[in-house]
Amino acid sequence: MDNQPVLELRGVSKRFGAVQALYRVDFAARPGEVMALVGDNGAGKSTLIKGIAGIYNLDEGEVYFEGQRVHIHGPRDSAALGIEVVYQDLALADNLDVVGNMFLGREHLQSGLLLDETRMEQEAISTLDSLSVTTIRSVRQAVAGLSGGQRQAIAVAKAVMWNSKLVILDEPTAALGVAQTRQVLDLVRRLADRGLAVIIISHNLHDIFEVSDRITVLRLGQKVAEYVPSETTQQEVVHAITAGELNTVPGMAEA
Amino acid sequence: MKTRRTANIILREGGIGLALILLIVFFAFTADNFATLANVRNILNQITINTILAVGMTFVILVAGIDLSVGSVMAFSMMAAGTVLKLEGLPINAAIGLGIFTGLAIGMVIGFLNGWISEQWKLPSFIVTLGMLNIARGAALQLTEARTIYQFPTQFTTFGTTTIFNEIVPLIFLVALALVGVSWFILTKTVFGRLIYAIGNNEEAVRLSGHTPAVYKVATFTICGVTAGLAGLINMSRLTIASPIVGNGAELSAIAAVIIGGTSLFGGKGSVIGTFIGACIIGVLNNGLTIMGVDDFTRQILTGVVIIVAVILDYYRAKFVQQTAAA
Repeated sequence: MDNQPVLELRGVSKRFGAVQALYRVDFAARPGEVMALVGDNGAGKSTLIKGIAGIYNLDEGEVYFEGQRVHIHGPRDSAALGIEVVYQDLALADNLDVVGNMFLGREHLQSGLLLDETRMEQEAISTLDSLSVTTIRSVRQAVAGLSGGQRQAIAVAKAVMWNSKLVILDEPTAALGVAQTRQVLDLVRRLADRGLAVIIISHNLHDIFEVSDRITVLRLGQKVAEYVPSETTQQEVVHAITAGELNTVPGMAEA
Repeated sequence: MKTRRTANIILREGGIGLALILLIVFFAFTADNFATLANVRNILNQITINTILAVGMTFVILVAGIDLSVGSVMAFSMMAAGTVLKLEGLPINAAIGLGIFTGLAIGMVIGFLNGWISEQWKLPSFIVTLGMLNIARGAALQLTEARTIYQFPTQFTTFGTTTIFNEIVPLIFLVALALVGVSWFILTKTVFGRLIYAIGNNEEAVRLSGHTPAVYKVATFTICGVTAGLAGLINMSRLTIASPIVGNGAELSAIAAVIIGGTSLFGGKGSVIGTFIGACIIGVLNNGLTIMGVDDFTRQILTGVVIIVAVILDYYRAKFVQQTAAA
């Protein structure tokens, strides 16, 4: 497991006015591994992934991608590196079909002008097949008519289409039933088995223990622990989430 | 896959198309002189302006905006173009070229302003374009102190008064038809169109995909402004005069055509083909009822009824499509 991280953060901080959302966080995501990011509300999980995705600019610290120092200033920068984020609210356009959504903003063209529907349709089908997503009946149906699990599968498939190296999933199972959660977790595992680095945010420790290779615990903007699921217990992780030891942040009141 | 898409399109536009055909058949049997070649030419002339305005409006409504200023912008573009056309000392062709440019440019600038102001200050386009409705109408009236401009060069008015195919099809109608075709192409075959639909449904999804929705939304208002300018030029060419009171309430007819055509005011759903059929329905209805001797007031009531019935039918159509998709 000592393979080189795809993404490494060293001492990153982010402040919103008086709120220290992240404080000197070290974090790494390795190829073939699922890294879980857990923490209570306000622990800084979303801020961290938005920093990685370029939606927020980090105030301090260094970001390395495949060993190179990088500066990510927007979603386009992170996408160019091979970082894809599957957001909690999925970012799907209900009125477009599956193909339209999977290629949204990155459509294939023919003669530089026309949408290449045939090529996009074929690639969408082959990507879904390669991820063993079998529940989508037609890639030409509007996503409005799909179930939560199917929508999540499309959002994930969309993320892996672009030679991505790191896929970040923000609470992918939050709104799903048991069977659909199962399907999505299997899908997450398959991403890692393909050699992708995966970061998953979840509140469900049961899911996390099942799918992840490492667990990073954030509390009040700081990283308080990192575990390997087989060497820890849910109780220990819960303890870290609620009472993990914090460093003193200069200039901040005791939380 | 292809057949499913075709089936969806037929389902989407078919109902409204059928309504148009039934309306035509009804009038053909009940209104004398409805089904004559001369009357076909009348109808095509009558629906041209509304079609052009409604096509531009479709772009705006697809991103969940609205443009109430198109009637006034049409008048202002027309008065400005008319003033340029009458400039002394310019060769006729230069005056015509400059007049056309002026009309389109004014529409474009006002459309851009509508979109830009709405996006810059996050204002509802309803409010911004309501203001612009007044501004453009005032400017149109001010330009000639409310006087009508007459006697344009025949080279300019010939276009608006020429008909082809046995004098049935006005040239100006072909312009409207071409605009429908080009717009359909843009909206269904290009990335720009794809993003317009996506923005209408989920602006955030487009932002996260790395595009700036505001740019596309401003573009739709700009397109709508240009079509208003075009409508002004064509109206002037057809009527051979430029009057600052033209286009009063035209925005409402355009919006009605878009809505009857099945485009949702909430954005993301609809098509210019539907809009065109919607404009045809309004035109045929007005024409048929007039021929039958129905008075203005009753006609207005019936047009209103048609608009409401159309959206109710669309509600059931959407439910039906959902059920067949789920089945």
